[in-house]
Amino acid sequence: MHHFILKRLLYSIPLLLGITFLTFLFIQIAPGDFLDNLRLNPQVSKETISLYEQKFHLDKPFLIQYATWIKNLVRGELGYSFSYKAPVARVISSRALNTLILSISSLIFTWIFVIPLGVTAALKRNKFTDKLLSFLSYIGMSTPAFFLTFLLLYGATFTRLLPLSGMHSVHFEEFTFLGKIFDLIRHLIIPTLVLSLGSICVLQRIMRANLLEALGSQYILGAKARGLSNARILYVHALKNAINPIITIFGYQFSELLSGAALVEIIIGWPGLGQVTLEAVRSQDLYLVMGSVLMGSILLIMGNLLSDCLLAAVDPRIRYEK
Amino acid sequence: MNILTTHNLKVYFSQHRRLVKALDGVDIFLREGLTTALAGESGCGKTTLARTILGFNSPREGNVYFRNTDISLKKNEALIRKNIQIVFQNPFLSLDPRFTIFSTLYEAFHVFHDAKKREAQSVLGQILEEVELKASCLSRFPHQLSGGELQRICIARALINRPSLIILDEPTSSLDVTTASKIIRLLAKLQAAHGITYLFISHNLKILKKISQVCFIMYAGKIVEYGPKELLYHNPLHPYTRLLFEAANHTLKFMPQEQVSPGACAFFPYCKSASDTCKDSPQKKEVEPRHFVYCHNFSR
Ligand SMILES: Nc1ncnc2c1ncn2[C@@H]1O[C@H](COP(=O)(O)OP(=O)(O)OP(=O)(O)O)[C@@H](O)[C@H]1O
Ligand SMILES: [Mg+2]
Repeated sequence: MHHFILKRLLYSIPLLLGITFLTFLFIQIAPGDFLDNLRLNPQVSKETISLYEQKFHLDKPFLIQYATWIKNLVRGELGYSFSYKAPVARVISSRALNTLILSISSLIFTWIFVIPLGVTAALKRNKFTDKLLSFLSYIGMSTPAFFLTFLLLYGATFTRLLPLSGMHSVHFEEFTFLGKIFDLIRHLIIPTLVLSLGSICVLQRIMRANLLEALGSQYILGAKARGLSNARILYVHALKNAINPIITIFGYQFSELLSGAALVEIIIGWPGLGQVTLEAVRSQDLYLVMGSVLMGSILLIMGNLLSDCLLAAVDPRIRYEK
Repeated sequence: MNILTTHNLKVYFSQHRRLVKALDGVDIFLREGLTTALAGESGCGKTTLARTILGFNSPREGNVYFRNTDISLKKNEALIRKNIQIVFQNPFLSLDPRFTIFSTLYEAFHVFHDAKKREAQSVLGQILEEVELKASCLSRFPHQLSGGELQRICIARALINRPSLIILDEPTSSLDVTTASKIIRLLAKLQAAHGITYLFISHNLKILKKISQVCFIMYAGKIVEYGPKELLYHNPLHPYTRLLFEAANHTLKFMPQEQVSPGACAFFPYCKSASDTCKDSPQKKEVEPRHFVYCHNFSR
């Protein structure tokens, strides 16, 4: 198992190199750089600018710049953000945490619903409950996320029950610890709903199909013939085998979750990685872009690795593969 | 002595609004301690009969008696579970891939024996010995065993609560010839040791000849001929049985596509020796002692 994880981590290094190289390339291809803002400022002298250029090697050819970035990365330095006037590591670490909070909250929310809804739909196959769930999930699947966001924000404005944007209330610092958690949860509700609804609808259908397939399989028939209880057949045999394919989807879903989170963060004003990446790209804040893209990719790879480990933990066929 | 009999068993399915008579008045009997063969081409209703005996299909008409108790009644289901087990064609699909062999066998044992895992250990070791497997298999997962070994596990699992009847639904069809004949020998050995009754479903007539004592030939949900194996193999009577024997090496495709006019012999559209009388339903006729056929050619 350790071997497996180590191998996966090693494989992800070329992937990360590729992603960061392309990002670097695209930023450099785009006309202008961050210093253009400074150049236009009459109060900034030519010397200051060339000092900056030298400090960040912006006068060197592209490949050397990238190599320098990698060299610094290996030393644990992500560089400096021009617009935040702070080290990139400091800017993105809190942002990455916020994105993680949002993603995990959506994951938990999704899975709380997917399995019970899928099981209910499968057990009530072609009955009213199943048809209702199917109908609702088609509506859910075809509602665009941004539309749902606006709908929820409209509802929130109207009822004044939930905060409209951000991650904390203005008076956050004055709250007690429990108060802070409660405040965070209130802010999480809308973005979590937006991020999860689509996946709940899709995965719930897949769960239903998997469970029906598992229930129709030969070993389930055999289990009935052997006189096992219905509960044991459903929960020990059918359900566990139905969940396997879903765990694989969990890995893919993680990438969707991160990109979805970026959109939601921008609309809702959730101070996460997606938001900061967009800002950084706009202002051509080179090292901030690189840092946040790197961070996003690492989160993604971790998510995939986690789902592979989960799969190996539940499925002996994968666990014992050499 | 019959351990199990079915009377006028009818099971219908609707497929795309069409009525499929999977079992259309089936009468069979299983002699205790012997192997009864059930042969017929794909789709003739063999598995449906097995499922109906096990209580997974409720018959539209007719009954299944296990030692004179009607087990087609829901209230007698416990009797089925205690006494009748099934082994399927594909051992890879019959075992939960996430269970070790130990858990698989222990789970089956546990249904009727409230034994701790430690106490069950010796029973499981013994049952594996009976199916000629090493006790080291216990800690393995299904994907770590071969098809033949897995089928032995399935047999062990069916055997573990000592049922009196085991239905074998094409238990060797997914195995190669040598493995299949080893399994057949094992089954015969187990029968001699425990006096179990087998209902052996197959379309492989060679295997059926080797293992069975009584044969039933089924066509389109009906029994068309039955009798002691020697008589039936020596002197097949029904035109369908003859075709089946001729085509022993290639699969038959003689299922009626359209519903034959009600009451007519189902094989009528394909029968070489058909005449006008075949438009009536054929009656059972004992052509030689204990050898029966449903065909007008013999009732004239
Ligand atoms: N659950 C079902 N719903 C609808 N039709 C069914 C169902 N089960 C079986 N049938 C139909 O009943 C007929 C008999 O099927 P069955 O599985 O008993 O055949 P079989 O003799 O076991 O065939 P094979 O040798 O291929 O296993 C077939 O026409 C099949 O399509
Ligand atoms: Mg079958």
